[in-house]
This record gives sequence, structure tokens and C-alpha cells, in this order.
Amino acid sequence: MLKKPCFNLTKHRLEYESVKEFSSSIVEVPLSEKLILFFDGLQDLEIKQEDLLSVKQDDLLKTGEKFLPFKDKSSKYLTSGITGKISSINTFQSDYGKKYISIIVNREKEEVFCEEFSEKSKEPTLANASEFLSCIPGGISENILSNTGEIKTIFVCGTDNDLFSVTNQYIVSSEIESLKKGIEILKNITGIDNVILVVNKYLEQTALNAEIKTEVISSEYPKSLPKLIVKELLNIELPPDKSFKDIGVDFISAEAVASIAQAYKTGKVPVQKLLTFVKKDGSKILAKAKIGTPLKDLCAACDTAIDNSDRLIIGGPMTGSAIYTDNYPILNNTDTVIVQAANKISRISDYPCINCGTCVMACPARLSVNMLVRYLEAGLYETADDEYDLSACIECGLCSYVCISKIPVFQYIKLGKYELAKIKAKAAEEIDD
Amino acid sequence: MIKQKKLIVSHAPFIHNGSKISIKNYNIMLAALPALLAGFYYYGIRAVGVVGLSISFSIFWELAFSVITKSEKRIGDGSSAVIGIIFAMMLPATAPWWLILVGTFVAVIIGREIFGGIGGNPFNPSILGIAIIMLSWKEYFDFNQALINFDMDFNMFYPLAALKSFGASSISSFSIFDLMLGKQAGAIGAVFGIGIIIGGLYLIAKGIIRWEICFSFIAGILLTAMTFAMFAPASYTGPFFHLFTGYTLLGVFFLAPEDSSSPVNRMPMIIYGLGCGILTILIRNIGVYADGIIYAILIMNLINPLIDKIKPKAFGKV
Repeated sequence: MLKKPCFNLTKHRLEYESVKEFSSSIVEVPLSEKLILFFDGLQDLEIKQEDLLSVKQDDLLKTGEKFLPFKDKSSKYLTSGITGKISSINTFQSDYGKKYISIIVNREKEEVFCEEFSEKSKEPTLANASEFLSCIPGGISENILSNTGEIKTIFVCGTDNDLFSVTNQYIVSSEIESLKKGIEILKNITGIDNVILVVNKYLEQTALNAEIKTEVISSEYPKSLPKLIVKELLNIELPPDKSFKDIGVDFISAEAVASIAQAYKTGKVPVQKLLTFVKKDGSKILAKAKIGTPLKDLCAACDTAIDNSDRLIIGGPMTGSAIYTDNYPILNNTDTVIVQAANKISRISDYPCINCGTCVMACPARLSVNMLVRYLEAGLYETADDEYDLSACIECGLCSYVCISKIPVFQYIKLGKYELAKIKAKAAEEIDD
Repeated sequence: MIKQKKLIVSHAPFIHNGSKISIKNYNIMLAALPALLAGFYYYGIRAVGVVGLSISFSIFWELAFSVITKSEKRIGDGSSAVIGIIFAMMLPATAPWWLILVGTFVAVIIGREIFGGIGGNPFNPSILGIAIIMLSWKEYFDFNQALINFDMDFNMFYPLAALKSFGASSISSFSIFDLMLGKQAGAIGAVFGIGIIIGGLYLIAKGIIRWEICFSFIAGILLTAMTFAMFAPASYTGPFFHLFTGYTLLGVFFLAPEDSSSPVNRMPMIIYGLGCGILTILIRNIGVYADGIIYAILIMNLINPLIDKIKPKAFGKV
């Protein structure tokens, strides 16, 4: 949503990638020697408390087998994409203190498929979907799987959240039949009738031909971020203190819906993730790899060598995150992997804000970013929220993208939100005491 | 241990639109060129000298400040050069070197550096510099006196002084078209109206200055001057005379939209522009000063943080 200043002829708006320009075939990433599975149900638990873990080293996993990392009755589980033995269990700390348990599975020679799902799921039901399918490519939110009647509308995103990515658009353009089937299954098992496919204009006809209920949104960044989809299609601006559940809406990616159809058709839990891979020269290809494949195997399959001082990014260029190791796995929501060459990396600077107002013009959430960043720089997170609506930010990253001083505005905002949550949690704790 | 590759880690976003402060400033300098070249044409080598000195002194002051305070040297971004150019555009071609030295000192050091450098200045630095030296040595800004040795083929009486001293009837000898072409006595960069407008429109098209401020400034001038002229046509002149004399157009396109001292939200920008326009005409018509632009913009700079608090409701807030 880069608004142009009056008669501004020189700046172009940011458009989402379109699958139309993708001609090359999909790169199939060969089976890796090991898979890395990330379990993010970790809160304050320490990995050392081994009695909490229900898996241990040398446990054998079959392809498509689900397993609970914890003995705890938590409904979260993982699905192994290969047949292999667990070789190690570690913790992994990610951005903003988020912790994962990483479980490394070494591949065995002989592949054995797990039959549990096909035995138990002759007919699609919410119960067996919930029991086996929450880790499918694209992922299904818990609100849908544990539907208690609050969700009235499900938006199937045939659009991609971030620039460069065409993953979901590709599913709409080439797997429309399984998408249609998946939407029917989704309707049946959840009892939610209002399942709407959201696509960009050029895919509308494809979707309508398949007789899917469809809505069109603009292909201008960041129009396909969930909050803006809700604003565009339902005319609701979601307040910062409310969740999508409160307004009866949930999202699922087109890839996940197609995976549901595939799961019930084949009787196997899908473990292949489709993703857009952006090479160093900026060219983009589609690749298919098992969830958990280390990124170095993906890069090798896509003929891209990673050197020192390059940048490896999972997620899109606007909202993704740069990671420090190529031993990081493909997760079930990794739609995009970008490799940036060292000489193409744009650096931030320590220039102060010059108050030009470009960020204010670019901000789709109508924040006074210029003032906000001053408070955030000073660490005044509560004032930033009270007076300059820190929590109303919808996290599109446009402010940093346009900043002429190259201030890491988006980073300040994310940090501010993280710190604000900590402050609020602490305050709540004190009240409880 | 396996040798780890050292990857660069940073926060999203990982792309940038490529804008740069230096490019922005070079564009402002480019936009100032038409008006400056006309100034050089009318006032000759002395005008070139004044502009050159002003740019050099501005850069010198910033460099000196960064050496003394051991801070990063940023003269390459061109922001001091822009202060120098715009400051010189407001000077008569006869300004002596020490006046420029003192003026640029006030502009760069007092107007900007002591507030924290680029982005920290509450006032437009060039205006502050001009305002101080105008108060201190006002004889240099009596354009009738200052330009007495220039013999041109047009009326060399400073139009705004004529208006102030002799009333609306005295300005009938100035044709608006001549004023637009720069056939008037005045500051180096302020006389050639068409050139300033071309530069201004270029900056608006580039998105460097905001049309809201410029257009509301002009609207403020036109509306207020029209109101005055309507009620007392004998004492006050029409709006277009005001638009093409003194620092008006320079103020509209180069002074008022300066980043740090102007608002960023739409409504405040319009209020700011209108305020500048209204105050300008009030000062010109009722005040003691012949040209009100400088003080009008300074006053609006002062209340800018206050009016910029008028902002739209954030996403999802009611």
C-alpha cells in the first residue's frame, strides 16, 4: 500500500509475485540423510527434564508417523517425513526468545509407511483430521480443528502473504481440483459452510470455473495480510486486543486445503512442502521438499552455493527472518526461502529520522511511525503504545522498506511489541499476587 | 566441529526501495538551479560569489562541528550544501562575505547541529540564519539600498517595500508577468518565479516535498490577500502580486516543506500550509515588515509539533 505522493511518477508500488511468469518446472529436492523437526509447543520447559519427553534417541519412526514429543496430554504432535531413527534432541532458540525442540531423524535405508492414518480414516472427520493432519504443509490452525462453533467463516488463502512467493497461487492455478475437493472436505468435517477462496484478480476465472466460492483482493502488497483481507472483504478492522476467533474468522492456506484432499485420497499424511526458492541472482523457482529438510540440501538441489556473509532468509523479504545456519529445516509454513548474495544486502544506517513522513504515507495501519520510532528508540514502549498505537501495527514492514534514513523501524516495532508483552505479563502477574 | 558458515543475520525487511538522503538533497539542489541561474543572469558574478561562499561556509561549519564534537562526518549527504544554497537564495547579490559567514553559522550550528544534527532541527535552518542576520544587519536586506549599483532595464524598486511605503496604488508599474520573469529587485534566488515553480513542481513530482503543504500555502496566501483586497482595495493589493514578490514562492516550495520542521500527517500539513499563507499576508498587510514569509514560517515551525498531533485513528482503534 505504497500511496504515491501527488503526481509521483517515479516510485512504483509493490506488487505480489504472479505465478503467470513461472514457467520452469518444480525442482524435486532429493531425500535428505536427515530431517530436522521443530516442535514449538515449548514454553518454559527445559529439555533436560527427560521424563517430559516421550521420545528418546534411537527411537524408530516410520514415514508419516505422528509422535508426541511430550508425555503430557498436549494435542500437539509432529509427523516424520522419512523412516529413520532419532539421533538427537536439542533445544533451539529463535527470534524474540521463541524456543523449539529440534529432533533430528537419521534416514534408514528402507522406507516404511505408517498405516495408522489410512486405517483410522476411511471417512474424513474432524476427529481424525485433528489427530493426524495438524502438521500438513501449510498447517491447519487449532481453531479450525477444535471447532466449537465460534468460527463462521474460513478464508482459504490462494494468495501469498509476502512478496516473491507464489506457493499458494501455484496451488490455485495447477491443483484447483484437489483444492475444490479439499474445500468440500473442510466444509463437511467442520460444518462451516462459509469457506471462501481468496485469490488475486488473474486467478479469479480459474477458481470460478471450478465453481468455488471466491473473493478477489488486490495484488498490491500488503493487501493479502490476514488483517487486511478481513478489512477488505468483511469491512472489519480488527482491533489489536481481539483475535480472529473473536470475530468468527479463520485462515487456512490453499496448500493446506489441497493437502487435506490429498491425505484422504491417498491415505497418507502429506509431508511434501511446496515452496518458492529465490536464488542469489533474484530468479525464482518452485521446489518441493519434505518438511524438515535442512536448507543446505534445498540450496544444493537448487544449484545455489551459500558463502560466508550471504543472507539466508525463510519467509518473504518483508516479514521473514534471516537465520544464522543452513542447518535450519523447512517448516510446514515455510513458503519462501531466499538466498541473498553478500554484495546485494542493503545495510541499515545510524542516521536519525529526518521526519520526511514517507513511512507515515506508506503505513496501512495509519500509524504515526515517525513519532513511534522516536519513543521506541528511547525504550518508552508503554508511551509508544498509549499515544502512538504501537499494538495496532499489522507488521507489513513497509516502514523500513521506504525509510530514507534506513532506520530498522520494523525491528524497533517488533522489539517494542515483544517488550510490551513482557511488561503486560509482569503487570498481570503482580495483580495476581 | 563442522566449520560453520558465517551468514549475515538482520531483521526484516530484507529489501529497500533504494532511497537515499544524498539523492534527495542533490534533487533539491537541482530544483534550485533554474531560479539560481536566473539570479546569476540578472546579478552576475557577485551572485555566483555569494552562492558559492554560502555553500562552502555551510559545509565548513558542519565539518568543523563534527571535528570538534568527534562525531561522524556526514557532509557528503549534501544537507549542509542545501542549507547553504537556500540561504544564499534569500540574500541580495551584494551581501558581504562576513554576513554569509555569520548567517551560515547561525543556520548550520545554531539552527541544526546543536539540536542534534540532521532531522533534529525545530526550525528550517536557512530561515533561522536569515532571520537572525536580518534582525542584526537589516540595512543589507533593504533591497533598494543593497542593489543600488545595479542598473537594469526594469523597475529596480523593491516591490514589497513600495507596497509597504506607498500603498497599493504605487505598484501599478509592476506587471505580474515581469515579476514572474524575475524582472524585479530582490534576493538572488527569489526573483525568478517561473524557475522556482518549475523546481517546486519537480520536487513534488519526485515526492521529495509534499503537495499538501505547497498548495495549502498558496491557497492561504490567495485567500487572505483576496479578502484584504475585497474589503479595502485602495490600501491592499491583489493576491497575485503577493505570490510573485519577495520570498513567497521560495517559501512555498523550498522553505516551508523542509522535512524536519514540517508536519507529516495530511490534515496538519494543510493547516501548516494555510497558517504560513495567512500569517504571511497578515504580516505584509498589517505588520511592520515588508516581507512576512520568514516570520510566518518560523511561527508555523514552532507550532508544528503541536498540530502534527492531529492524526488519523490507527487500524482497529475506535
